[in-house]
Parts: sequence; structure tokens; C-alpha cells
Amino acid sequence: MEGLKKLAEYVEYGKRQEAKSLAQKLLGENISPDTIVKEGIMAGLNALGERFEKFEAFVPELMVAGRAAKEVLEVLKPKMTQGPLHKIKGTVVIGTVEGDVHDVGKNIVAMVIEGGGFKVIDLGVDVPPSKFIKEVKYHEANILALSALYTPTRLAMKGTLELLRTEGIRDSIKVMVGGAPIDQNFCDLIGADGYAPDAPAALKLAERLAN
Amino acid sequence: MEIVGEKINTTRQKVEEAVRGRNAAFIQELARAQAEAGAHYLEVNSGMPLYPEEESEDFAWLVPLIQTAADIPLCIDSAYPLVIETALKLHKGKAMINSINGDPYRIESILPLAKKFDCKVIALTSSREDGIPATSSGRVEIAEKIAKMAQSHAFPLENIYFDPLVLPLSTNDQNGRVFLETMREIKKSLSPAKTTSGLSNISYGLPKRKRINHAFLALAVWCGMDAAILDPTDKEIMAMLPVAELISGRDADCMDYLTAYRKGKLNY
Repeated sequence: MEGLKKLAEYVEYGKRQEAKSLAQKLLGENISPDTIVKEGIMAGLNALGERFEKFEAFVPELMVAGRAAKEVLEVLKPKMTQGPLHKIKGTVVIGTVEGDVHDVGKNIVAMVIEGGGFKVIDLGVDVPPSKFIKEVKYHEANILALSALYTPTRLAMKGTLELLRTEGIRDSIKVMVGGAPIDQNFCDLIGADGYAPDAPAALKLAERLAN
Repeated sequence: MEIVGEKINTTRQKVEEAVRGRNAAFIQELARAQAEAGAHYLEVNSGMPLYPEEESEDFAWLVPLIQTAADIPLCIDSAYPLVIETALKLHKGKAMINSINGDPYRIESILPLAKKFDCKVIALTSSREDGIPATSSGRVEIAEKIAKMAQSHAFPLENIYFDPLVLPLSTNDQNGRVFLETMREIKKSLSPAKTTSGLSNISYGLPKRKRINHAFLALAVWCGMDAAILDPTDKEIMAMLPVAELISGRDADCMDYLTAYRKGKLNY
């Protein structure tokens, strides 16, 4: 449908105002919020993700598109009949691990995942394992996303996973990891469930893990 | 401008493989090429082992190996006092340590080593307490706190190189401005302390990164940067540097510029 295509384009190019009013209009035409999410927001984010992978789109564009997607979701919220979207998609607790104060990568990922319809609980930086566990339990999160830039703090990722095991909740949550010193090998080494090299990949991974 | 050659860093896949495989020739070639290209220091990082004991063994291998190939001091990049001490014991000349920050435990564990071995120290304007402050005044405050602690250790301020921390423009378009203002303010209020920085973070997430890095270096030179952590085998950036210094009033009678010209270093 023409309107949904247009909405996808607005999201992809981060045109917030245009995206919001079009979403409002589409709701008025009795198009379901589900359809708007799928064929508007997600189609836009996926198209951007594809261009990003080909080095045709860049990080600032992920940021503005994520922001636009988030605001369109706000418009849809009152009309969601099966309850808020995150009940379907899931809740992600995200943070930079203990000892590390870098938040650039984590913020990009949080923005894109939230734009993709997940509820995101951002615990900020230098988050001790016990805090991750507490918040995961409190929010009944299904995904825990750990970020690290400062190489020595990778050990804190390992520690967080160990505490999840000690607390007996390792099986009830998926853990994804990312950051400059992280790769698939390290992910496997510490027994996390997935690694993503960038934000669009992180959104795809979150969708896979949530299913 | 002092040049710290950045290439011996195990966050680069090939270097990591060379260190793991103890490929001496590869590492020595990196050292030689950077020294020949004009580096005054060579950064050495081997942060990939999970535990400091293994990192320490890496440095025990790396330090003498590199200094045999290039007769210049090293910039020892590690978080662990154990690793730094191992490296310094084997090091010839006046080393640089990368890095301390505003965390008291890091200052207390690393500054005494720096003093004992008569080193220079890079100090990041961040801390666990304050993170990386969003404003230049927040970062200068951390620098002042570090300067005070250095004083109480009787560590000379001119041996501290403050790094105002460069964050990507792609996630906040004010990150360049905040960096430059911080650098200028530290040079003014904490003299004779020095300043340093890497360049490439500024352009993360954007296309044509070199363009951004080069312009950023020029502006940082104007703001008083004393040491740049960069790839000295990048001939374009090495051609830009004397020009930036010339324009910033840091080249007496234009002599360095003319020397660079005669050596053909401006032809890139």
C-alpha cells in the first residue's frame, strides 16, 4: 500500500514529523497497528540496515531513523489492541559492563532496538553483574545485551554470565554481547547466545533470540 | 609535535595474530616502518588476553623485540600495573604509559611506577565516578583532580599528557567541539602539563574517515596538542602536520615546514 511504503521511507530517512502524521492518518484509515509496525517501521529500518551493511548509510542515519521509529511507535501505542508491542517483541535490558564507562556503541544499539519495537531498559555504564541480574528479574526481560569497549572489562561480561548461572536464571534469558574488543569467538568462549557487530545486526539478533 | 605510532595494537587482527604466533619479523617491520616514518614513540598494546599474566608475557616478548628494531621509546598501553612494570623493567629510555584516568586506584597503582622508572603518563579525562563528562568543564575538572594527585606524588606535571577523549561525531555532532575546547582549556589552566589524543574515534560511523581525521588533527594542533597518536606511515597526514603547525604559530621562522618540503614530505 502506498501510504505504508511512504511511511517506511520516512522512517528510513529519519523524517520524524512526516512519519508521525502519516502514521496517525493510516490509523484513521483503519490500518492495524500491527501492519503499520511491520510494513511501515520495520520495512524502513530493514531497508536502512541493508544500506548500512553496504556502506551506503551511516551511523547518524541509524540514530535519526531509530528516533523516528520510536516516535511512530508512541503514536501507535493507544491503538494496540493486544497490549503494548513489547509484550509481543520482548524486553531488553542493556548496559555497559562493570569498569567500563563507554556508551557510544551501547546507545546506538539501544536506539535501534527500541525503534524496532522492543522495550529497552538502559542501565547506563559501569553496571555491576548484580545490577544486571536484579533488573532482568524485575522487568522479566527476555534479552540481556552487554556492551564493552575497554578491553579489560570483557572479564565483567564473563562474570555477569557466571552470576546468571549461579542465580539459576541463565536458561530463562538470552544474552547478546557486542563492542569493539568482542567477536564471535569471545561470545562462544563465555557462553553468550549471540554476538552482533553493529546496531542493525543487533536488532536482527534480538528478533531471532526473542523468538 | 610528538608522534606516537599507533600500529602495534592487538585490536588490529593481524597484530593480534602476530603476537599470538610470536611472529617477530612482522612486529619488527611495523616498528621499523613507523620509526623511519617519523614516530618518536611506538604504542604497544596487547590487551586481548583475558588475564594480565598472559598480557605480561606478551610484553616481555614485545618490548626488547621492538626496541631492537627501532631505537625509540615505547608507549606502554595496558590497564594492569603488573604488565606495565614488566614492560618498564625491560624498556630502554624514557617510556610513556597509556594510561591513568581519574580513578584514584589507577593513579595510586600506576603513578608510583611512572615515578620510579621516570616515565611520561597519558591521563584520560574520565573516571568511573563521572564517566566521560559531556562538557569540557567536567573533563577539565577531572584533569585538575589528576594534576593534584600527581602533585601529592611529587610527579612532574610536564610528564603528564592529558587526553581529553575524542568521541564520535556520528552519535553527537558536538563531540568535536567539546574535545577541542577541553584541550585548549587544559593547555591554558594546567601548564606545563601536555596534551595528546588519538584521531580515528572522531570519524567512527562516517564515510571518508581520513578527511575527518586530518581536519581534526589540524584543529587539535591549533588548540595546542603536544602529541598525536596516529599512523606515521600515512604520508598524507604526515604532510598535513607541518602545515598545521606552521599556521598555528608553532614553527619558528617556518624552518620545519621548509625542511619537510626539501625532504619531499609535502608531496602527498
